[in-house]
Amino acid sequence: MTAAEPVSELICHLPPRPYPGLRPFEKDEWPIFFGRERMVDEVITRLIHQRMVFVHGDSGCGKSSLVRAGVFARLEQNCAGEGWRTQSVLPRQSPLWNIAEALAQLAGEGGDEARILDWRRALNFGLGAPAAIGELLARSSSGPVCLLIDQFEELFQHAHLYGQEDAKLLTQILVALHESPPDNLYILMTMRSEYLGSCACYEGFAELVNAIQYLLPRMSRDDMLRAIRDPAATYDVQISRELADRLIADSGGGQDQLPLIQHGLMQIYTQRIAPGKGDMQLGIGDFPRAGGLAGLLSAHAQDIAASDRLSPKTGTPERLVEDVFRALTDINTDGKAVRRPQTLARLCEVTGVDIKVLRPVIDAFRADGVSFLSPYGNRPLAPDDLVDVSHEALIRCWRALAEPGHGWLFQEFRCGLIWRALLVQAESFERDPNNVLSPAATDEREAWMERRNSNWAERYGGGWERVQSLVAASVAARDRNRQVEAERLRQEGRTAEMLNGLFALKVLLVWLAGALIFGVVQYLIADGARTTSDYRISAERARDDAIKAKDEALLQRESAIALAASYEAEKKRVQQAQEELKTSAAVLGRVRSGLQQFSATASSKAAVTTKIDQARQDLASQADRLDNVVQQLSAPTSSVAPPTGPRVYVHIADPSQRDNAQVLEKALESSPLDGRKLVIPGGIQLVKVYPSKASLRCFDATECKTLAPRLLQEINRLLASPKVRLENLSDRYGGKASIRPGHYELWFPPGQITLSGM
Amino acid sequence: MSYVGNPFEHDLFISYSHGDDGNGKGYLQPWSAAFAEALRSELCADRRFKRDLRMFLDSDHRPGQGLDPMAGLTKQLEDQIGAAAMLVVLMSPDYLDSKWCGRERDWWCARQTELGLSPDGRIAVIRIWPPEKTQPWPSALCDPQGEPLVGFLFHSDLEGYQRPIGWEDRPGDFGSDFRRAIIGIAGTLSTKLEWMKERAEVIRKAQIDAARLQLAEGQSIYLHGRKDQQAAWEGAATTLAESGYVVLPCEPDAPAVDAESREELRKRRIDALETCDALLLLGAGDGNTLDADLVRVGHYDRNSARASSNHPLPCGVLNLVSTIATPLRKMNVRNIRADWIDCTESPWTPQVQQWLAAKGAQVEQLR
Repeated sequence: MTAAEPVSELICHLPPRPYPGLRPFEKDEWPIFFGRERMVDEVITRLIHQRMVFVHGDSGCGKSSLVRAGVFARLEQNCAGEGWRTQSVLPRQSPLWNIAEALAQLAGEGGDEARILDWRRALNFGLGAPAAIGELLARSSSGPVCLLIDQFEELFQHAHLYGQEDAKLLTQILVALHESPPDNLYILMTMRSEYLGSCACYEGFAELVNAIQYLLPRMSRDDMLRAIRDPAATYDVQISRELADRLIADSGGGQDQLPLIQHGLMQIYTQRIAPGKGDMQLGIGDFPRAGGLAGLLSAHAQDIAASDRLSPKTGTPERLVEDVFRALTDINTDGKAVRRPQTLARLCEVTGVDIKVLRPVIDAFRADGVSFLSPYGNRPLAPDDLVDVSHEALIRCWRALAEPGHGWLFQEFRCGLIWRALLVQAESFERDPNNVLSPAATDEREAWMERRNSNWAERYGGGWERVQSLVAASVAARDRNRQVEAERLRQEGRTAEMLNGLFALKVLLVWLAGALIFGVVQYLIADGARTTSDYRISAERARDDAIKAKDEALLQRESAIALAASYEAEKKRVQQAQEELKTSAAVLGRVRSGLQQFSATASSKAAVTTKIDQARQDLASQADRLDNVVQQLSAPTSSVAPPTGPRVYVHIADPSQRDNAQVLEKALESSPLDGRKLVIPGGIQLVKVYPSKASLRCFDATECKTLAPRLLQEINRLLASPKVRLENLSDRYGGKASIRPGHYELWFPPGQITLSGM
Repeated sequence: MSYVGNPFEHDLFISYSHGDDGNGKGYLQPWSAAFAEALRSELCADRRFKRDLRMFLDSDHRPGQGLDPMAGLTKQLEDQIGAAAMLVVLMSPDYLDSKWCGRERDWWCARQTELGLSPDGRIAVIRIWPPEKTQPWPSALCDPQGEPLVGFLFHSDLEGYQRPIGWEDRPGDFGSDFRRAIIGIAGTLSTKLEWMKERAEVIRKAQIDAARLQLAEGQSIYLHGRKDQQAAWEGAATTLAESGYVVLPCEPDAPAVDAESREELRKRRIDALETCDALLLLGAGDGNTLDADLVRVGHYDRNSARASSNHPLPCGVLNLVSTIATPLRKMNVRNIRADWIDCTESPWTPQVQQWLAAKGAQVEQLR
């Protein structure tokens, strides 16, 4: 007689490892699902007697695992009778359609759109739905079927977003199904307990929930010990009681207890029990001392984030992991860290990257043995797949994410506050264009905006264009202020430089006078002569001249600081003054050398007199020269005319635009407008915030009507692309002191700048 | 015997430094001894502990509770300390400096490792005198992250200095501050002692289970079979009974027609399994029945019974016909943590006895 092998449904396949980690258990992982047996028994008993069970509990307490690896596995293995089929469904954005699809699936009609429509139509019958569903089930002649509506709370979120109709209809159907259950239909629902209150919003539904609810109990210590030790024992690995006790103690009694233990065990097992390795014992020495289970989870997540496959070398933008997890997490009104599922497409929009760039990141975090993000496994993700953090324990334990004050979660929360503040400021700016950001705030926000986009902003109230306008105006105001300030400082710097030279010259003059007096005194002492009055008078006069020159120079410095004339005119004057000073310096240098030589060699009183007279004349002539310099510098600056040509400040958004912008700049400078030369001051500025279209901004109402159109015409004549349009900002800036006549700004957004004829 | 029970001789061991005052006198000793006595009184106010509570203090010389003045001090202390269910540390700078206290702590921890018990949650630190910030805490008194255990604050300001609560009271005649503080500690320790008693009970039960499995005969065995295998089932049941085993149930399972009756049958099976030492699945017929029973009874029902009764309940397949012994089926058996017992040749009850003994040894090792 030939030995028959077991049929496939009854073969017990062990998963690759005894612990799933952070994700829930799947249906086929029943061989490693331990510790919840009493709860599974209770749910199945209730299901068979009540036909409907509403399982609820804290977030992440194991509801889905219980139903999938406990209840469903047992039903499908015919523990409660032959021919059971099970199917789970999430309400998501189309609760009724999704349920119709799942029911069709249970009836073996899943791929048939017409049949799905039949099921969907049956649901429309509301209170009459049980009879219609019963007929459809009878049509399929299937055995008992169990439908799990997982995460029932999504129905309330759906109602909040899209209206109450679907939620009203579905709750009505469920009430009716409980009152008149069709043959062979069993329904399970799971929901977070915090949504129990929402159940009372629908007629009859609170009563139904009261009748069929099952609050998932806490696992006892013995349950926990079995959940820890039995899966490993199935793989012939023994976990010591001491290690099991430590795992329970370290994970605490909170809602993260189970996921932390499951993840910790997965990591310990994977690291310590290599395939084929002889050591099949795990003891207290294997417990992660540094950081415990929470530290182990944090380190694992960090390892994935820092892995080679997500490094910038592989094309993953820096901080993309951070941006993804910032988008997938939130802080609720109670201040608790919560999950925030997003579709893959939405994540692409929010992070501003292509789906090809984002996929490897999501895949790395949802891979087998990691399971930090769902959907788990290797199935290629579709754009409308919902990506979610597998358990909030990750949000609470991953230091990069959770660290108070510095973690991504906190930073994202802070960014939300900043955005809302910017929206308020934008509103104020729209009322009064003078209400721009301060230069310091502009600097900060300009850089901050680089990592944001309009999709991201929708999370915090939208208004991207409004804030962009505010920042652009703030940047323009700041840059103008800085240019004016820079020019003022440059002038001050030049004048101060020149005055410093002048001051040094005066010091030299004083020193020379002193040296002269010293030389004379030395000579007279050596000579014994006492007829010093003439020499003293001459020396004192020379010294007085020097002091006078010094005082005048100081006065000059004070007055020069007040000068605010144009740089070109000032430069010319300064150059002239410098020439004068150079000449004076040369003469005074000669006087000093002569006096030094003379003091060493003078032999007679007559020679001394002659030499001192000569020196005095030289000093007097240089004092006169310096007086002239002082007068030149003291001349009123108002007489200096400012440059008369229009000034065009060019802004580019991309460094690659610089070369062609320079060509344009030269072409503009060589194209006089109304006989006036165009000036391009301060070079071309690379900016981070820019308008969406190339524009020439004018600020004075008259100029916007007269010179600006002609300037625009000239620019567009020189440019093949882009087409520049005129942006009249005179209503915001006209008449302001900070805007000088003839001020224009040419802004280019990213893109090729092409000149005509290129 | 202690309230917690075997393997613990004492419920609490109070470890503290006498605090040498420089003249050979222990300035902390009188207060600490009075604290221990006050704690004992407070705990014994609860009727659960009145009779059985055992507390060990090195200065306690009552028969059965303290040291034998005629025996070597170190060995005595090592034995006594290791036999305490909980360690109570009166934390002070002198405690952290004391090599003797460190040794006491090490003895206690080492003994817990021998017993296979984690010290987590079993050390109560009573902070009677703030240690210096520079004094490192031993790892046994820190959590896995290296942070000192929180413990209980038991010092307060006394004219600008931190002193144990009740420091200025006459030892043994403590005031209300002391009473209020110690009643909180006693409440927490009561809960912990109850928790330890349950754990000790589990350990004792595992010992009993292991010993029972290793007996030559007399174990209760649940022999699962179906009505359509009645003859084979009766033959196996008779053989087992004749070898000295108690066999349950009285007959193989009748077929259940609907979900309710299946549930009813399952409930009865689990109730019976809870009272049994082992489960044997009848391996006869074409093997398909065995495959189904392996999952439903061998895995689900057995684990439900284990969850309710908290005993090991090993499962074996009584292979009575050679035609079912396929590699895939044997792998299936192994994957649900059951064992294949080859009983194709008579007499086969010795194989069952060997299997039970081996499972008993395994349970003893794992406890």
